[in-house]
Amino acid sequence: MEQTNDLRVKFTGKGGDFFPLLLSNVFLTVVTCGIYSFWARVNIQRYLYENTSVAGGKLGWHATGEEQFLGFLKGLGVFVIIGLFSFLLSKIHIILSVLLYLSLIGLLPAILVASKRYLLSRTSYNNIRMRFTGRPGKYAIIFLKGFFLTVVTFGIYGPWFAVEMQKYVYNNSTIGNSNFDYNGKGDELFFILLKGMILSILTLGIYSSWFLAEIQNYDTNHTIFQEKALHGDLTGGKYFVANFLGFLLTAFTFGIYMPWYLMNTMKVSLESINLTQAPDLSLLNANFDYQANPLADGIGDAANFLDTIADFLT
Amino acid sequence: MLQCAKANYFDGLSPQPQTGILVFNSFSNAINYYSVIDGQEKFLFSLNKSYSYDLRKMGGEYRLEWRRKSNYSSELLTFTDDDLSRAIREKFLGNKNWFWRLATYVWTEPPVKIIIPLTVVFLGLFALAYLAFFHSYLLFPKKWDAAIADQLENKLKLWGIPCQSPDTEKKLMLILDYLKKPDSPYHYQLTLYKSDMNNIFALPGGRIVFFTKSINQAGSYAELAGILAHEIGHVEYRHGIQQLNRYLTLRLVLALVLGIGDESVLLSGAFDAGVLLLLLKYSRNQESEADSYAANLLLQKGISNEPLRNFFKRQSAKQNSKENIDLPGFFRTHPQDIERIGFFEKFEANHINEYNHSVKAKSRGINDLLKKTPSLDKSCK
Repeated sequence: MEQTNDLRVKFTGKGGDFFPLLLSNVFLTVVTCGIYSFWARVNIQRYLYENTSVAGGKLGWHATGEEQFLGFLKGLGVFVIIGLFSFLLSKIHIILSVLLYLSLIGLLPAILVASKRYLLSRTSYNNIRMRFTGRPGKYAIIFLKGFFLTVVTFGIYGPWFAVEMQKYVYNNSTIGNSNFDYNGKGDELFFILLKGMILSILTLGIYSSWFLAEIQNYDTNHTIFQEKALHGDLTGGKYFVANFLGFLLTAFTFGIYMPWYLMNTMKVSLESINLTQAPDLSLLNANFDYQANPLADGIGDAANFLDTIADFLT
Repeated sequence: MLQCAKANYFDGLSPQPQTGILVFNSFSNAINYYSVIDGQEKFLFSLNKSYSYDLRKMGGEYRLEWRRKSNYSSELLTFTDDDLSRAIREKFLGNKNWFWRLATYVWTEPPVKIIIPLTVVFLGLFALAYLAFFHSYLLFPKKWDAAIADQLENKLKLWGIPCQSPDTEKKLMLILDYLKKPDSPYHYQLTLYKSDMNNIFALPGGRIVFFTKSINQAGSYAELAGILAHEIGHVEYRHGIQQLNRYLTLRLVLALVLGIGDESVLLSGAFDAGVLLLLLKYSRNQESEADSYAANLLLQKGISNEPLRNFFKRQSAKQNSKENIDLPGFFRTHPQDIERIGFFEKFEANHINEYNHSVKAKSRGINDLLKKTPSLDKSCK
């Protein structure tokens, strides 16, 4: 591969190509009564990833609809088993059933970590798979501490919590032997959020594009790969125009313009990111995650599905 | 026959692709790859049919991806030759089932070739959406209408306090019983809410809600009869269920288009805005439909629609006052009052003979009642 000097992220997705894909997704999902939706989701994600490139290499998305569908079925199975156990325990004493559900909350960090492992194991750069090396225990400590402090400070600790989570996730996200890092600071993020929220309220939401651009640029500028920070130069004006026009056109075309809207906003957002030096490809050799699987995402899909059914019935 | 094309091979072990030549042998139905280093070709591998394959077009190039066992790794060939991709899809991957072929058609063919099947799919989807949007409410049993109304009625307390005015309710029920179809499957009821809002509307299933201000402003029971006829039209046509069904259908389309769930708040907002405009348009159509129903019903029952027109004229005069903002047409839930007045006027003029005939069949009791001015009990004032 010839490494190009083009260190800016490129997004080549087009509304005209995306529209037939969405149309075929809808058609096949309808005729299969929703079963094809797993393949549809993979198609969309694959289209977005594989039209994104930087430094001469492309991102890839390698999940399959089949594995996600099987993950969903296994997730449903998990809920059936939990439901069965809960029912049996409630016959002994209702408190046992409650304790069962409370204990399942303890599994949440493991599920979240498993989901990240699956996500990264199916993401690649020039077909080199990424990997998430985080552990549920450490993730749980950061999450619980951050959550507790955010609640007791009525949200003020939130930016510090977000920074700590981001740092942990990035440090444990690798391509080959290279991992990402994040050097954002809670206090800097706090003032950006405070300023953004106040100005967005005062301008009845108009400032929100500049706010979101500032957040994205802050995240990008504090993301480090192979010891060099990335650089973000998204402007609020560009973001506002893309969203405002897209919103209007989508509304007035009763949704038909949506693929073009999505592609335009992705292009504006992604093409504002660039590396500050070409990646050292010798450090990007394969490091597979053999055990990553879609069960955690399947549990999430099954939960959404059961939630929808419950909403409908009640 | 041999088909060849330049291709890059990504082995999944190193980010550097190998450049080479992809060769498809249509006689043996085999794909071989030869790497090219310093002008020298060297056989690298042959593709095994037992692997799990994916063929798609992305960003101007074709990608043939395969997995040997599980999905923790995969290998990839990228090339740009259209004929080769077609040959691979139709011959090398010819054992794939018809559904796979259908699902991947859009990935592997150029837009010009898929335009006809895409148009057919689009029209098919459009027809399905049309049927779902306009007619799928028929799948809701009629007995569900009242159950849905029960859910909605709890929310009404936000706008008024339920009150009772037995004499007024009795008179309104007499008119309602006179107007409704004898074989209607709906159980019509009236509910009064003490409120400063001027509104009368029907919930699905036959529950008609009066806000007391509208009764206070009515000049006669004949005016209220006209409004009741309009609300009966909404109930009989199941407009409430239709609107609910249309909204759910449109939201379902959004969920299908983006896969499970919708991750973009802005996209969802834009779609919702479009949905709202569309539903407002259909709301105006439904109001016109209910007006048409009312005009016919009043005609059959020998009740003139002139009192109803007077009611609209008074409402229109109030809305033309300085305090009220004139909304653009596409934001209105109802057609303009002036259009409605014109419609009823023209309808009665065109059916004057039938009207004169129906008037004779009207009972004296109803006739006397319609002339009275409605009044409410103290508790409702």
